[in-house]
Amino acid sequence: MLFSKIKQAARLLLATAVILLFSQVTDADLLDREEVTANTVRATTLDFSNRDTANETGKSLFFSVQGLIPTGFQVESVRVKNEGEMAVSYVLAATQTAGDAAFCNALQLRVLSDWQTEYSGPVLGLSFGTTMLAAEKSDLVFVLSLDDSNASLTNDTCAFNIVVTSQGVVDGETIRFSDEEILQNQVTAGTWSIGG
Amino acid sequence: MKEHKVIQSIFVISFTLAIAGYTLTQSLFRDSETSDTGQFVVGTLDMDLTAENGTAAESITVTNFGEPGSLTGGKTWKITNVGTLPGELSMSVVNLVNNENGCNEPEALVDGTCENPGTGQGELGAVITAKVFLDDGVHPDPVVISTLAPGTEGNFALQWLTNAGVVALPAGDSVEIELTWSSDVNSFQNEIQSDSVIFDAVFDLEQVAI
Repeated sequence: MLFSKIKQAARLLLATAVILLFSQVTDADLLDREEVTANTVRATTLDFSNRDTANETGKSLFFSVQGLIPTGFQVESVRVKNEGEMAVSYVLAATQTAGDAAFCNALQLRVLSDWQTEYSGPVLGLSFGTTMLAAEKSDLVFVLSLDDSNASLTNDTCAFNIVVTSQGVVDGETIRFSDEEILQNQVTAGTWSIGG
Repeated sequence: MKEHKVIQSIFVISFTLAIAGYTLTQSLFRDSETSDTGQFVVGTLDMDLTAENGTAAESITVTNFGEPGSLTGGKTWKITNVGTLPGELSMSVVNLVNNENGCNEPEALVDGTCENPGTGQGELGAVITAKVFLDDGVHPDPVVISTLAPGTEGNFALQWLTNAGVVALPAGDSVEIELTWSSDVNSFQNEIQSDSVIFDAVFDLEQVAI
């Protein structure tokens, strides 16, 4: 019995040896290895925020004017801060979200950057763009006014958003990262009489 | 007692005869020659990895992927067999990691995984196509084409074996290997912001089996 087991083990050993010999698995070949470690590709970031110019807290509510009358105006400001790693080119635009179209169209807006007027015209025609490098910020001052004294505008309302949007194409190059911030506005006209 | 004496005598006689026989049967003429030039020399298998121009090899480092002009690039490494034995060259990629690195506001709006580092959560590798070119005059096309998405590291060794096969590198010879990366500008948006992909490129030179 013991002899049979020894014979069986010997056969197994022989077979394994033959397999290893022909498969060259046990070849003691020389090997040299070189490594280029920690190859890294990292995506950059594009991000900006609207902040209060006094304390840099987040800002999304902007003009809130009650009883605006002809020749009346209101001033607001916002700091657009580049929070990302890449330069941001952004544009300002305004869209009506509620209220009377005639009143919205009558509202005038002036935008100043570095105390230079960059836009002056109807609110809904707002168009202004600039570029912020990484870590830069741009302070914008807005003057909202009503020049039209048409009596039909009295007690009208206008809700609109000033939308700050990063540009998708800069100098012919496509930028796939994007960001958009919104400043919400609510204006109600006062009452007045013509020639009163 | 008598028997004991007999055995003792036989033992003494045998020992004496053995000593005498050994001495008398020695060959007295003798000559020996020594060859002092014979030697066993073990060959060397040694590989040198440098940059294309012979300077120290550098890793790929891109930190502004997504900016204009950053979506394509490449790195060339030069492999030289500086040993005395011929070898077979192969390449693989190991330790491939896609990190999320957290999310900023724009990314958080479209990406549900925002851990930091968020190993395996990053989406960047999936939008990058890596190609390996072997400048041996035999393989004009890439021998490896693969994204760098999680779980794709095995593609490199497998495709090298399939497309390049055995790349012989005789002693003293060099070959250049270029790894390029590229991405279609329309293949990603904010979900890859701040994501990173990290990997090691491994080059093996194995002794040619005799």
